[in-house]
Amino acid sequence: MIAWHADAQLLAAYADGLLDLARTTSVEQHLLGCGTCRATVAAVADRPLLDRVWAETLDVLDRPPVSAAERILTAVGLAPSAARLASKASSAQRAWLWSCALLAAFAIAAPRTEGWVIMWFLVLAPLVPVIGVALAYGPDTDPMHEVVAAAPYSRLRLILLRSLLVIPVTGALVLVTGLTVPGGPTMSALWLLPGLALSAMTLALEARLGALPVAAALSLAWIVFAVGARVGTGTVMTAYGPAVQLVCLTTLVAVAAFAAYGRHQAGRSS
Amino acid sequence: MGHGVDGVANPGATGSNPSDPTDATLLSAVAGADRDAFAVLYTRHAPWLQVRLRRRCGDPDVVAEALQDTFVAVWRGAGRWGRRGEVPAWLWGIAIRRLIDLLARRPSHDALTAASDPVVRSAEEQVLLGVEYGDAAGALNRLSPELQAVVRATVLDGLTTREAARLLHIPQGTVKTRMARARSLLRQALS
Repeated sequence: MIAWHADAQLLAAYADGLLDLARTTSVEQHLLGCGTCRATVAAVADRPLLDRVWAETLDVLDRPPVSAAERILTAVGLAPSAARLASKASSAQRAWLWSCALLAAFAIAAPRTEGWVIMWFLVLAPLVPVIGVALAYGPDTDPMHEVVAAAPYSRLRLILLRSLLVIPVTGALVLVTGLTVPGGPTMSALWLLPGLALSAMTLALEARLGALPVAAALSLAWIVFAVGARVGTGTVMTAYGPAVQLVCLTTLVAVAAFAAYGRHQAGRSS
Repeated sequence: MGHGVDGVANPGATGSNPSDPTDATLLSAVAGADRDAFAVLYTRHAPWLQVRLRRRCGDPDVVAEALQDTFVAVWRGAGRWGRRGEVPAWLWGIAIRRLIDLLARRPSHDALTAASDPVVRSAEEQVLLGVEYGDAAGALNRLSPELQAVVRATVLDGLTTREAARLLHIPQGTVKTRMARARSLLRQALS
């Protein structure tokens, strides 16, 4: 039992920073072990601040936790509200998994087939993320569907946001399973970079030009490019050459920079 | 929002009443997501934590944020206390580290000037202090503010060299040098 207690004057002097290091130390050590003196020092605490902190603490506890996916999306420049919408997520996990599985299945099936099938796959695969996500987040599978439908928010923009989230995970899936198929992971993962670049470009441009025209124009441009490569060089693989992959990567980086730059604008418009 | 704020306004209700639940009881209740126990814990410990944090940082907004982060961490990590050590020391360990994190994010902040108030003492007071604490206290108080800050961070707050360096915005090497200087000065004064 501690018999000695600091008097209120000493504690007040401590709180005001009027004590030297030695006495400050003594008081602080004593406070750690003495509930009575902790209660006494409470009298000189900043009460409005404590009330404010209590209210804010409860506010934080009542807030739904921010998922890892949301944190990543926010870090790459999306507004927090858009990140929440894209990844929500805890309620739409099944839908999200379905879209991942769909994309992975496409990618894994592709290298096992020959001829026209693979040609059309390679032409259309980069466009699959957007379509697949649209299906997965549809009225039947997405618990958020009604909330989203009622919100004044571009549906296509939402799809693009979500595809940005799906593709990296699908990419990892494809990479892992690709190691088990002949031809290695490169073949089944080729389309990912163009797909990501297309989604990202659509997202970046839709604020200025409107979502639908941009998505349609980019899709058409890609199909023309891929078919052109097939006709011109005899194989659609030309459309996936190193130069193209590099361009896609550069585009992605540029779009990310653009998104980070125009973050506040995006926040306002969402 | 409501409960617990009333308790904050009435600190006399907490403290030494033996019928009050112990901190350990409260923490295990908080680990089971008991908001009422959390409110009692806040009422009991937030005030002195706030006072002590204010001695480490002059900006009330930063203190408020550190306090909030502390109790959010307590709510989420109450199960991690594990009944080792005293609850107040555990709480302070969380609070000072939250404060360091916040201060590290503010490059402009000068922890030293915010934390230490230069106090000019009368001769009589120095004598009284000498009687009260002996030479150790005098020697401690005669250290330069830079050395005092390092002693306070490492010895009193129990921070690692790395944490102290972040708190004071100085390199880790400087923390070590200053600590060594403080130690040798204190040794001289006491020998």
